[in-house]
Amino acid sequence: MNTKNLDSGLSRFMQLIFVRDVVLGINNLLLHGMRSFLTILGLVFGVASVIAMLAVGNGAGQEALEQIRKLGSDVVILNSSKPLVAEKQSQRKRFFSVYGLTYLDAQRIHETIPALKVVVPVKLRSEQVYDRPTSVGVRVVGTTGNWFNVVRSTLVSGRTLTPFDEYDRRAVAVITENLTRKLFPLQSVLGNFVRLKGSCYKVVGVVRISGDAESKVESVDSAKDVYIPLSVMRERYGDIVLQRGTGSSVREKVELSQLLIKMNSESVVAASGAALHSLISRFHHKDDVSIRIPLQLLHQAQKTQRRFNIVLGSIAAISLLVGGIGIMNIMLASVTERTREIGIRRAIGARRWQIVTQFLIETVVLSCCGGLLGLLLGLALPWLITHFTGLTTLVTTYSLVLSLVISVSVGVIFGLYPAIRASRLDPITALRYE
Amino acid sequence: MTQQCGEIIRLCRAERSYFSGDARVKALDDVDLTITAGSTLAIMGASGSGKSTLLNVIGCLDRLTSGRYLLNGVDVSTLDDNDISTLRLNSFGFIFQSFHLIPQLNVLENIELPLYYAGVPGGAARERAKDLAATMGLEQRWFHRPSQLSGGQQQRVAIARALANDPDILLADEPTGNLDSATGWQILAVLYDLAAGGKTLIMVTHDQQIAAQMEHHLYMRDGAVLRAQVAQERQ
Ligand SMILES: Nc1ncnc2c1ncn2[C@@H]1O[C@H](COP(=O)(O)OP(=O)(O)O)[C@@H](O)[C@H]1O
Ligand SMILES: [Mg+2]
Repeated sequence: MNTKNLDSGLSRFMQLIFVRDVVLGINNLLLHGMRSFLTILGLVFGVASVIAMLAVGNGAGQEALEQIRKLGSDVVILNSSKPLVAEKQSQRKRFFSVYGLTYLDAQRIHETIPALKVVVPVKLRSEQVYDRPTSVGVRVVGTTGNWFNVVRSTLVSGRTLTPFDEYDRRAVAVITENLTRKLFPLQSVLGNFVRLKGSCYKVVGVVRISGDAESKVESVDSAKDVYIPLSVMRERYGDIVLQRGTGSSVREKVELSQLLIKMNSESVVAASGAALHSLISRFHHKDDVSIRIPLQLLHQAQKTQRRFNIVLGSIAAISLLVGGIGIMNIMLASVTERTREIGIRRAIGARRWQIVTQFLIETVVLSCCGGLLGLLLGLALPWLITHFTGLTTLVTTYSLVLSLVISVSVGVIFGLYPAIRASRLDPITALRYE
Repeated sequence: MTQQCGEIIRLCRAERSYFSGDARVKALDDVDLTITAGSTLAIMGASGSGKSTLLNVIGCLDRLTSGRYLLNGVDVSTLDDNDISTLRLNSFGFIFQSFHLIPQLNVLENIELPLYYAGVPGGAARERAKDLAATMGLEQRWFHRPSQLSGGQQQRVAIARALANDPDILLADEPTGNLDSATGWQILAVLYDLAAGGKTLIMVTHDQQIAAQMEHHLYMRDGAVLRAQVAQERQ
């Protein structure tokens, strides 16, 4: 019985709200068209700025995430890096300085780290291809076929490296599409030869490193790559590099430049990262290996993004506050203007909450109009920003919903005081009001 | 109903004071009054004698500063604002000298207002409003705004509105005060008809001729009852 009462009460309430008061609210707003418009202007800009700011923020975040995602979020990258400390002394004593990742490291990692999918050893060397009157600078990558699974790449033609290339030490090469355009603009690529440091490599495949085609900035490293089997590279180049400095030359022994380690899933990346760290630090005391975990960078980027959003959000909140206060001001004026009407309604038998509802709905109608105009402006602004500055912007449905929720809340919050004030008027005094 | 011949309103030592600064004005001073259901009462007196205040107190628009007001045996001072609003909504119909229609609303919407506050669904409210408008001779004026109506028509709308929830008691505060006498008499005819139909009618007026049509008369001066008179014909 109680619920039934409540139910009918609720349906009455809904009926009171939706048909009449909304129409009445709109009528009252149209009655003072210019005033209403000026009133909601604050909210319009508030909502528009919320949407635009979120769009810019999201766009920036999206760009960063995209860049990190290209590396792969389930990958850990180990790089050999020249140690800065104690370098001078050891250089004198030894014939050459030894640092970086070793073949043994690859072996150890493969054997000790659980939840690991593949380990891709990589040897890198910068080289010139003297095939034509002008030479082309390329990056020679000695690696295994797995490289193409870990780094996002698409096979354009031919094949990638196979284990047989590795075991048989075949002089074959896979090159990037970009390099193909430079080296073989007219000839067919597959079966042709690339000459590196006196050796010839038969081109067996062409790959496109994903992201290259779209990215505006041409990345030299990834765009002009020659991939050859690691065993071949080791055989022909050895592990010792001659670094020519100013006046002197330094010999360095670096077995592997890089290890790409792909994990089974994203969830084990953090734990494996820690395990790798302790493993590496046990065998490398010179701090000659750096660990990069894209997933952690991603988390970092997300954290930065969140901070950015909070700052933008506060600015937007202030502008919404200003808009809300403008609306409250006008509603207070409206209550004063319509004192007599309120008196009449109360004399007829309106309850206090019915007066509250009426004014609240009027304010919400007002603020929703502001919200909708703001939404349109908020959609236009990011478009203009992208058009004129080239910044990536991203309008999410979440921000649109948010802006509407905000407008309704602003209406309710800032309409409550004027509405309650209206309902508290003494009927007789209100009736006599001129 | 049982109140048909019983008392519906009783005021005991009713007092309503207004304070303006230090001065205290007794708008009602020790008023005792009993009104039986279905009767008609004319309240008369000079301007400022407290007629409107009395009517407002009876209609639960105003509260007594001291004394008791029993409506159907219930002490009104014990009711909260919500209950009082409900009383105004269902038990009283107010008719004012200056009509007090809401200018933004048209004729039907004005008449519907008490129905909406009572929770009558939209369609039913519209039907009832149309019926009421018809009985008040306003069929042609449904969608006119108050400003597009003559004084007499506006007062008819106000009466229709007062009747919307079929109240027992009609309270009219100088209903013809803003009308010319011919129109005034038409409005009064409507009110007398309603009284004859069984409604309790309490009317404030200056006019002896108008008052002569009412059963009971109350003369006021300075907030106090000067003289109460019961008409002969029903005695
Ligand atoms: N809100 C008020 N504040 C102060 N005095 C008031 C107020 N309302 C009425 N009065 C005083 O109460 C007395 C009665 O007023 P009222 O009932 O309106 O008289 P009437 O209707 O008979 O002309 C008058 O002296 C008036 O000045
Ligand atoms: Mg008066």
